[in-house]
Amino acid sequence: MSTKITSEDFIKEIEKKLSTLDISPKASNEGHVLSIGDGIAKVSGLSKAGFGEEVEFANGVLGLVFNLDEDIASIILLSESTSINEGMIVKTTGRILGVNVSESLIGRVVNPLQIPLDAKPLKNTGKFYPLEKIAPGVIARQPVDTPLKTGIKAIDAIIPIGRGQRELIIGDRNTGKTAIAIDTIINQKKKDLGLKRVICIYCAIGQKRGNIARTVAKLDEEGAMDYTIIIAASASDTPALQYLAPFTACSIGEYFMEKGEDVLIIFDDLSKHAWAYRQLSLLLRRPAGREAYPGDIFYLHSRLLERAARLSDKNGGGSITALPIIETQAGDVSAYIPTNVISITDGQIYLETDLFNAGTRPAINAGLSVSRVGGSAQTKAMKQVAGPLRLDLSQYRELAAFAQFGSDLDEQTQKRIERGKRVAEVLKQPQYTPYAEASEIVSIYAATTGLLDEVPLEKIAVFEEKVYEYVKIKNKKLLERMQKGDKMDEKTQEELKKEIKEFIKTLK
Amino acid sequence: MNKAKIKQLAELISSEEVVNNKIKNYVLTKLSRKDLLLLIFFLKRINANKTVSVESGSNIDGKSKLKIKEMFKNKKVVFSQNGDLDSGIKVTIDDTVIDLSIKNYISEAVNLLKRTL
Repeated sequence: MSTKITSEDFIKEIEKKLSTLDISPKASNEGHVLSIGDGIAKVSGLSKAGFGEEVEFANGVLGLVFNLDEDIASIILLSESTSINEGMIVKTTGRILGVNVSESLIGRVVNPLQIPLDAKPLKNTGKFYPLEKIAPGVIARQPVDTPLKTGIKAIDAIIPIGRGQRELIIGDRNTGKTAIAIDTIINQKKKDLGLKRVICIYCAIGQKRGNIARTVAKLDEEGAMDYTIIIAASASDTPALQYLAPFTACSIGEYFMEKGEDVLIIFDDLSKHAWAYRQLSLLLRRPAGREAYPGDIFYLHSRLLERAARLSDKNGGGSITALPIIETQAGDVSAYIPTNVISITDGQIYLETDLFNAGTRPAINAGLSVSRVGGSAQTKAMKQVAGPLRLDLSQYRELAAFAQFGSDLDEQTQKRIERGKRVAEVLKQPQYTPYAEASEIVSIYAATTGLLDEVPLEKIAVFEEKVYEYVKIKNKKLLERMQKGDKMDEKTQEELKKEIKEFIKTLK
Repeated sequence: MNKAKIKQLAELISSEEVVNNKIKNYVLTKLSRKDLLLLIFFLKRINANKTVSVESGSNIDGKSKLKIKEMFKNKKVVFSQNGDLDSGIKVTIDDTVIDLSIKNYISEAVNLLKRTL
């Protein structure tokens, strides 16, 4: 039932507010624009301005104090600068840059300054969170031991991600990095294993607006916008906004984390973030280092990614899982920014162009990918079936070179190669089809125990598509037991083996 | 000439009531355009530091002027009229501004209301 307020009541409300307001005169610090260009304004005065303080130009444009020299303050503009001219007055606001966060942000597409981009109004109410914040201390955290299911078999089995972990997704352009991130977001709809919901934040940095729009549309179609927030600083936005975007995402994530919720933040991508920061630093005449990046480029990413954590139960038990994305050039993981971020994160998922072009999608190189959290982020059941998987794959990779001499190899080697082919085939997965835990276990169990050795390679995809539904109809209780995540006992394994064998007969 | 030296020159010029002819000739003949601009910048800053500017919408009476001058004994107080201010005064000390005008009060009230309502 809506309450109607008359104009008289509204006036009384305003009068009441006015009487309680404290509008005592305050001294403001002012300066004058000396020069403006490339999104940077050099201002004289502002002797009391602090680093990172928000300032306001006479025409309402906001800026951020980024350099404090003896006589001049350099300010990066947070929006277009065409209306700013020399001599214009600039005032300090006494505020640091931050966002007002509340549940109303969920399902919205906003820019780093919280201006809505989805043509719907947004009330700037909620708790204020500064963009720059110190990461939680060691004592405030607890070890990562809860899985964050991506729904991608290759990742959940071989490179498992836990809630509170930082896992880098690295690869050349068009290798499926964003696809992995989007599939992970879509999979959170399932609330697999009975775990609590995950609020997803997708931070698009320096991307084409068309790509961002496509991503939003896909997430909306899959129903993922019910728990997702999108922060967009596209390629046509100022470098200042591109620089601030990941910090905005982190601040919003921290709001939910401190409420005890689990959050997933995807930074797509940090390479463009580094470029934006390099551009700002060069324009500010800061000393350039390797590859013209400023000296504090490592600190830029380390302080951002350190904010991903799993808080102790005393602090609410919430977590932020970060999936930063880095784009390499010609597969060079030893370049400056990739090595920086690899050393910061708790593992990486390495995507290869060759694998992608050969049809292995997701194009994950299991040899170079690692999760430093590992088995702690897996259920007992998954750990049980995924154990032999790595071994099978590594043996297959070693023997793959000899595959062309198929007829000259001994039976044992041929068997290993055939097993490896089937394992690799099982790990392939179409886009936008994340798997539930039980479904993953069924597929991987079938591959690693040799049940698929007699199945032709071209029928593996059909097997995967239909086996779960078959087992669900024939033996639902078996799947329910598996869904709990506990280690499979002999009886469960026998039952599963029996169902799979019967299904394979129907394939033939 | 480097920045520090130009700053020293500006401080030297400001320290005297009447500018020395030798300094005047040096500045006008020896300094490059870039150095001159920097010198003007420093002179303006030093001058702003030493001066308190009081703007008002209407003429301030002598008694009030004396009171204001007593508050800033070590500085030169300059009074001027600004039609934009209506009532109240605006005091500028270097880069610090204390705006006691009605216009500013209303503007602050509106901003606060926007934030709290």
